[in-house]
Parts: sequence; C-alpha cells; structure tokens
Amino acid sequence: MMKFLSKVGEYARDAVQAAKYIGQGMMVTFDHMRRRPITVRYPYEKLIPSERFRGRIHFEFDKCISCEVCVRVCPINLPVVDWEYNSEIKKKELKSYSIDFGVCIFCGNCVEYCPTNCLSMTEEYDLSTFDRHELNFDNVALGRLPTKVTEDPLVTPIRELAYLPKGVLEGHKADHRERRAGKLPVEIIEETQATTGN
Amino acid sequence: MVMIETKAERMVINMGPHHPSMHGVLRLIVTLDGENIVDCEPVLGYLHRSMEKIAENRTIVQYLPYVTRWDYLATMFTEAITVNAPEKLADVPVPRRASYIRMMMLELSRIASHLLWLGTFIADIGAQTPFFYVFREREMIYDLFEAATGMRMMHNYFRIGGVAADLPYGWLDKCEDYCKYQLEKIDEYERLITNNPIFRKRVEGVGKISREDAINWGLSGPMLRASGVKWDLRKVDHYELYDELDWEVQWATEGDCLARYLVRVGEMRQSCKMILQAIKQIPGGSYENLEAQRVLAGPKSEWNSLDYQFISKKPSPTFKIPAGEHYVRVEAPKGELGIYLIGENNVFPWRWKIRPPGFINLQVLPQLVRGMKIADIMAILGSVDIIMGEVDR
Repeated sequence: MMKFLSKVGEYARDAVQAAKYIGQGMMVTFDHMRRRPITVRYPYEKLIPSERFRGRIHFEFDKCISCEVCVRVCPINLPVVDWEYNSEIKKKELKSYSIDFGVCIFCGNCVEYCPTNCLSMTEEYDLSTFDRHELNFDNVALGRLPTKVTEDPLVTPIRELAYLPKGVLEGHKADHRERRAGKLPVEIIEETQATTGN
Repeated sequence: MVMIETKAERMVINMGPHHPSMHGVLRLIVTLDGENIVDCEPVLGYLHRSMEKIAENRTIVQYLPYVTRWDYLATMFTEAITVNAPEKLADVPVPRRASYIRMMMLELSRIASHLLWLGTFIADIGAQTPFFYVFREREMIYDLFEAATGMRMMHNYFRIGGVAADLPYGWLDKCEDYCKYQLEKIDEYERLITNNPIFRKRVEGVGKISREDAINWGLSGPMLRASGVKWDLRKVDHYELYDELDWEVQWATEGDCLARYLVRVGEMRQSCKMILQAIKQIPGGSYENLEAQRVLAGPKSEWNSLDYQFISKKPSPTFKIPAGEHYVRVEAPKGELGIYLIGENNVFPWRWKIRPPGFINLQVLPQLVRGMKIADIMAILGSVDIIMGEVDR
C-alpha cells in the first residue's frame, strides 16, 4: 500500500514539475504577443544594403588602364579585358570589358585591388533575368548607375541593425532618416577640445 | 506473465541523402531490429568540391572567397585559419587592433553558429518554435557582418596581416547593444528549453560518449568538452589575443546530448562576454574615435603606429608562401579546424590539407547510435553539429 502511495506521490510531483516548466516555457511564447513582427515585407519594404555591400559591380570605362589586376585576383579569372596596344601613344587601349554576373560570386577582390578605382561595388542585388546570358554585362551595362531603395516611392526603406540609433534593435522602430549610432570624428574632436580647454 | 515474443527480420533502411531533417546531404544506412538500431553507416561525399585541390592553384587572395563555403555557418573561422596558416609561415605581424577586430568577428561567428545549431537541434527533436527565435538573433549578427564586411555570409574579410577594412562608424556601439540583447535572449531560450520535460526526456542519457572514447576518436570542440575534457584551443594555443580577455572554458562531464547542449549554450554566453570586453579594450577604441585622435595629434602621433592599424601591410596579389610546412589550428564552434600547409616559395601552396572538425566528429556517430531507438538518431546527429560543406569539402 505504501509503495503504491509513494508511486502516486512521485507521479504527481513529476506532473507538477512538468506543468511548471511547460508553463515557464509558455510564458516566453506568450511574451511574444506584445512584440512586433521583425520580418521585412519584401517588396513593399526593403532593407537598405550597407555602405560596404557588395552588389553588382560598376565599371568606369575611361578610368581603366587594362592592367588586368582584376583578372589576376579573381578566383576564377572572370573579367574579360579586351585591349590592344597602341604604338603611337605607347599605351594599352581598352576595347571592351565584361563581367558575367551569372558566374561572379561578388567577393570584391577586383574592386579592392583595382589601381585606378575604375571598379566599384553598387548596392544592387536583384539581378534575376529569364535568360542567364543577359547577366553577362558588357562595359555599357556595367557603367549604368544603380537604383536606390531609398529613392523608390513604392518601397518603405528599413535599416539594418548596424545603422540604427544606439539602443534601437529593430529596423521598424526607427525612421530611416534618424541618426545612426556613433559620433562623427568632428564631434569627438570638438568634445575633447572643449574638455581640455583649448 | 507470458509475453508473446515476435522476432522480426532485421531491416535495412536508407535515410537521406536528402531527408528534410538531415543536416545537408548525408546518407545513413541504418540496420534496424524493430525500432532498435543495430548498425548505422554514414555515406559521405555528396558535397565534395575538391577544396584542397583548388587551393593548390590559387593564390591566398584568390582562394579566400572559397573558404567561407567549407563551413558556411561559421564563416569567419574558415577565413581566420586560411590567413593564419600563411601568416605564421611567413611571420607576418598582426597589429593589436586587427587582432581585436578578428576576435570580435570570430566570437560573433561562434554565436551565429551555435544559434543555428540550437535551432536545428531543437527542431530535430520536434520543437519548431525556438528555430524562429534563433533566426531572429542570427539575423542581427549577419547585419553586423554586412556592415563591417559587405556580405552577410561570404565575408572575404580577413587578410594576411590583419583584416580588409576597419570597422564602420557606430559599429562598436551597435555590437554592444546586440551582445547585451543576446545575453537576455539566451536566458529566454534556457527558460523555454533547458527544463522542458519533453526535451529532457529526449536528450538526457542519449548518445553518451565517455572521456576515453572521446579522446580516442579524436573528437574536438563541444563534443570533447561535454565528455569531461577541458580542452579549448583558445586557452591551449594562446592564439590572437584571447589571453587578454577574462573568460572560462565551458565543459561538462556527462557526455550525453544534454551536456553538449549545455556546453554550447554556455559558450554563447562566454562569447557575448568576450565581445563586450573586447569592445572596451580594443586599441584606439571605435573607428570614429581613432580618426578624431589622429586628426588631433597630427601625422606623427602614436595613433598611426602599427598597433592601431587594421592591417600591417596590404598583401600583394603575388604574396609568396615561403618554403616550409606546418600545421595551424583554431577553435571553431564545431571543434578544431586546422590547416596543414606545405609551401615551396611560390604564390600557390604545394599542399593545403584541411582538418575539418565536423568530419572527425561525424566518425563517432555509428558508435553513438548503436543500441538506441531510431528516433534518437536525429537527436544524436543534431547534437554532433555537422555541416556537410566542411565534412565533404
């Protein structure tokens, strides 16, 4: 009889324990009722790509000196640099330049090593086409300026975490024009000069 | 009492290579006796991309974008080891500031990896909700990465002798915000998961591995630490500047799935603390402060010395790996990630052997699942934390 009772007691204790911990877990779940959704409703809302975002590559034809460094640092030697040596001006003349974005992995090595800065990364990331050959951009297509999320009237721009004001952790909670975290170096200079008294 | 005994034939079933709850393309051939597992044989190689061979005709600069594809959930670690190997061979100095930036990036990456592990592990066991919670937090880490490196996962940020660029304005402030937030959220996960009776029943005493076995199988990372070995390469090898931070190695002695869970959750807390310390200790402080100090003190100030740079010298595209060979390792979230590098004074390495933690931790799986029930396979496989990208390379 005692054995039976202790069994029942043990069972009841276990059940109470389980109910307690499940209740504790459910508290976390119900706590989410007072939180906002953090999902971004693309394409009505879009995240603003960061300043260093590595999107589609922009190319300036006139700056290029056909040195082919971009080809040498590319993991698969992707950029096609078509040039001819002009013996009159003793310089290489660029005829055409192309990068196939269907193959490019946007590592940014070409941009980093370009000696004349004729390559740069834009914030464009939606490159989908119906035909993959359309992704093979020539120097004309590479020279087009990117579109901006903030200038599209149909889109609500939302900032990413690193660009939000200090203390704000959700993009929805701040307007994208609000000042981001961190002071400007100029302000820090002014502050230190004010405290040291110069 | 009379029991009716039925003896069924053994059954061989195939799990994978694309089972939805499998971690990537892993195939398991499981021999079953009813619901008990008699044997299990993992079949690998579905994601093999010859990463080691590719390294042999790429310069380090060219190879760096590839490495984030080994372990695509702890991307910073693959980059770290890829630059550490030639760095150590060629004795390239790393400025203190660069080292601090690296540590912060590595620890953020560790949190991201453990978060995703937590989500999938719990989802394997049958709880779907935490999966969404961890993705919310992981997204923030990736936002921080995107701001500093330009890409969320395929960063290409580490360079021989430092990192590619200094941190952007306000990054440290937001990183601090994030770490404080993350510490709260880890408490929240623990409230949700740790004492949950269903979770406890599924993981306690499941997939046990003893201390001796763990060492004999060559396990590393949380797998080894959960079995009672206090072995963390950050403490053992003293690489980067981890010695300047105050933190503890997380370990447990039980060696079951629950211990591995607790070790990883503990590591996330430690990583948050380490980042918070690093934010305070980084030489020069935030980038905006460093810029201001440089302007104030003029061109010949100490603020322009090596310690305050983010890179010692920009690596040339024709950086030559000196002749010689050595083994370099870092403590990745999954375990010991190592490179055995042989150079021959050429821009390409002669041999680039990768020691992926997932590959070696996966070997122990058949031993762990033998004798367990078939439903435990997912719990055990989840607790091993494998990423097929690095297992097959």
